[in-house]
Amino acid sequence: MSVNRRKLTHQPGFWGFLFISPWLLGFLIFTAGPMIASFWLSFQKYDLVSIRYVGVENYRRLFQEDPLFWKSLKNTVFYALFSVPLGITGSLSIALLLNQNVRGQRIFRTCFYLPSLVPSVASALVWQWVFNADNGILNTTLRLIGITGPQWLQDERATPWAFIAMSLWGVGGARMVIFLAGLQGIPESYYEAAKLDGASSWKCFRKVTLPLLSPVMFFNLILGVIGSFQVFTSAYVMTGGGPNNASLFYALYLFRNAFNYFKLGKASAMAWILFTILLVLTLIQFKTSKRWVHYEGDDK
Amino acid sequence: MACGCGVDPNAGKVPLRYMAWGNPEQMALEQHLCEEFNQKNPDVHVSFLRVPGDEYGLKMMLMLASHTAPDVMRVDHYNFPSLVEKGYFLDLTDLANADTSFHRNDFFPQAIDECLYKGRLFGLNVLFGGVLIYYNKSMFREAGLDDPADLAKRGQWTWDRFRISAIKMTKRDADGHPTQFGFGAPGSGSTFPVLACAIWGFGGDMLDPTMTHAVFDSPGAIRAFQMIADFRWKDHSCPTQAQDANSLFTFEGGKLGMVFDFMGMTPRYRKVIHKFDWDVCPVPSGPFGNPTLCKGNQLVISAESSHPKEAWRFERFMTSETTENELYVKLRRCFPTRKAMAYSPEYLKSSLPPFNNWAFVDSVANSRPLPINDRWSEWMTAFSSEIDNLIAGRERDAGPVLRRAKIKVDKVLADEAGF
Amino acid sequence: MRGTHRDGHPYARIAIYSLLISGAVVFTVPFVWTIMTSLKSGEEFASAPSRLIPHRFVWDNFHKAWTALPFARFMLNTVLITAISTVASVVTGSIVAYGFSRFQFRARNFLFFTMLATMMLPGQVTQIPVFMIWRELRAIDTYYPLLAGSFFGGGAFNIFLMRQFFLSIPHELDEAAMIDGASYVRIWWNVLMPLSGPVLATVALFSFLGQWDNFEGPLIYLNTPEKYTVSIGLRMFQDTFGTNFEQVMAASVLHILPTIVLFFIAQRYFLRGITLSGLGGR
Repeated sequence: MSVNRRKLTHQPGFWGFLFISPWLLGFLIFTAGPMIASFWLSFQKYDLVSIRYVGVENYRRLFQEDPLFWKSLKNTVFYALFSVPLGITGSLSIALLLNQNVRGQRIFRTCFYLPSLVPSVASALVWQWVFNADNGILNTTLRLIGITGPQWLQDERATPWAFIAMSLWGVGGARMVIFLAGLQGIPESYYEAAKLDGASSWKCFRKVTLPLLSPVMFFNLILGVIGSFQVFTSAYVMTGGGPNNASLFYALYLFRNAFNYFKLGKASAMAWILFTILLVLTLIQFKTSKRWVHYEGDDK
Repeated sequence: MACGCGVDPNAGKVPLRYMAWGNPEQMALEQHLCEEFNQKNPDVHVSFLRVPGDEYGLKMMLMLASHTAPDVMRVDHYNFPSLVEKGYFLDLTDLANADTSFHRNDFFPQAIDECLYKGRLFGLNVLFGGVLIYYNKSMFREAGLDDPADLAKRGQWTWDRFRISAIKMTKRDADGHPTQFGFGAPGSGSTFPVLACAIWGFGGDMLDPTMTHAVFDSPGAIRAFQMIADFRWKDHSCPTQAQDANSLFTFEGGKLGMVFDFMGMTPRYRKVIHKFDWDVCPVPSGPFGNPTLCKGNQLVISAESSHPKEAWRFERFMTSETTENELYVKLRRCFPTRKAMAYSPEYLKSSLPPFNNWAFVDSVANSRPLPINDRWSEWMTAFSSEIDNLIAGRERDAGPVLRRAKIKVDKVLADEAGF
Repeated sequence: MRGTHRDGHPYARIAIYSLLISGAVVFTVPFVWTIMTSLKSGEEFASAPSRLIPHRFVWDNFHKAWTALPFARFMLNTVLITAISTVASVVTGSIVAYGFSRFQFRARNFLFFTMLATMMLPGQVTQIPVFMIWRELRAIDTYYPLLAGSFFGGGAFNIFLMRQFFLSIPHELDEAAMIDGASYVRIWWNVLMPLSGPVLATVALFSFLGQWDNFEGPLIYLNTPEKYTVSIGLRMFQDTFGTNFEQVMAASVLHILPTIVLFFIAQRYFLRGITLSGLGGR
């Protein structure tokens, strides 16, 4: 590899730049520029008609005077706390099962992938009925085994769990496929070597699969956390944030401030708070990852 | 509607875009009106934009903010004051003064007042009317109850009678699952229309006349809210939000004895209700009478419209005597804004239900406006966040809830707008 | 097919299969139920919603859903937008991936990590200024805001996937073509692209799903109902005909079907397209 690379280094960098320029341009126009703009906006009071500098007032009001801000943050953290670990465990379990030498792997894979193919609005509409307290399939099924299910989308104690449950429907999706690809990328010889040493299946899993899969796990974890902080469509369609704001997730409240109330300064401040939270969480994950993520020899 | 046809039959005409929302019946009707206008005005072509009701406010504001607003829009009065204040709508005063066929005195004063901003006219009223009760006559009869409209005529249709009637019409199956409720209020979350008439009936109010602070902590308002909460949580005569989910209990399905709503439901109910008799009656009286609320939508012209004259012509057509006569008197799509029309024998007599059309007229004559100004949505958000505790049954005692709501709303009203 | 434990104990095999089968059932039930509901009559749905198979199949629900709103129009719009953005993402994304995988230039690694870092940036941070840009360009209520991203590489994850795949293609092939006098563009198009079927199919599927599913974008940017996509059209359908739930489900099925068809077409390549060597900073 490295030998070839070196041969290529004499290629003019100009071409390289040219080829990546679509991304670079898009990055400057739609990411870097807007990031600066939204940081600046977070210190303004702006409603698309008039604009005024207000210092840190947007931030102060969010932290000190806005119970909905805290509520939406709390809801989102709670959701992330359960949906991310459960989701990763679920995705990994399915990937492990599918990676066994099973017949009809493709059919199973399709079954598990199916929910991720359902567009989010359609899936919200479907789940709205799954969760219907009186006639939904969930409570109807529970009734068969003698349990009275809660009013999933009307009782604020049950609603967060409804959203977590709904998120688990998607564990067979892209994340699982990424795990599966990671599993299939582990050379068979490693397992054979471990078996020759007399390792049990569990030991194989712990000593071979998990370490070699840890970068994939890390990747899924980081993106999972970020994704979980951005739940929007399901809450928008299914409950509109209710009952009693139990499903008012951060992204939904931000959207409302931006495009329902046109409090664009406040919404920008919220976006930057979100960004800061995610940045800190990601950095913590990177820091701790040194302890559990296993990298093969560096070939950069 | 725009299509990829080779030859555009509307080339050379002034294009106007009109936007509105509503149930399928209302949409079909407005589509029909646009076509009729296009036929009668060969120099103009109106295209009709239907936007779903839940997203309507959002879409309209996005369009106004992004210079893509249609020429003519229907605005719910809840949003009118805050939008007119931002200068999004065209001042129609001069167009109205120049129009010799437009006489303000023809209209109910309430219908004109809603369209004014700083004394200038910014819209024409449509879908105007007061809240009253649609009731299932057959269900009343089965339960052996007196007809509420007869009671109202005798001055005996009180909140106590209402309560008893609602309880008697509520039914459950052997497992205790409700099969039928005494009454319902439109939009499970926003039981507000019901509350407004109850508050006034018990002598309370929402805001003080200057609209600078809340007064829902008055004894009358507390009594009214307590009563509404008790209907649901003590009497169980009204579906909870969970029971109401996915439209399981509707008036048209014969599962509600009474429903509070505006007049606009008549054509739909006429079309879909065949299994029972129904009619309308006024809202019940409290110690302070039975004032109800009256509200309309405004037809406005975008300040950025390049065809204000044609747009005005279209607005006048949509609110003309002929249209009102056709829609409101004959089809009963909604209540007329013209006094003469509402009191005409033709309006008051009908061959199809509802027969008690005097109740519609009374509800407007006996109405009060809601305290809607440019701060409405801000304080309503604060207000609902507390009231929801009562409606959802987390708290049963109205007093503390309303006292907290007052403090919250006062704070919103004292604060700078839009923060 | 590769497996970690080829020689499973018979009981272990039974356990694995029963887990897989019960899992597959749980995952597909809401989906099957949606299809069945879309075929029930309104009365049957209201009276016995717990019954799975309809007494009588009411295909008319689909006809009604298709004609009640300009649903065909929404479908056409969505197909158009999705097709354009899928093709654009694959083309521009692979160009960028080519640049990142085959050339050595100043700040390359810095730019590559910057690109990966954008995956961690919540969209909300840029959403408002981007809206303002389109507003200034008077492009609200057009498809440009929805399509723009796909003409600039189509997103970091897609570029990343393609770059990884390109890295696994031996450089000798490039060099042979170069000796034959091929330009860089030719190498990209004639050497790399034909060998990249799996990753292109994967990226195409992801782009397709992303755009087909896009809800917030059309919600913010599309105003005229004739321009709506299916996702907000479906929401409109729920709003207008919410009481006819079986028709809402029929409309949902119409929204779901194309993604499933496409998945079956792409699935042959799907897994092979994800090359993970080098994930997480290697």
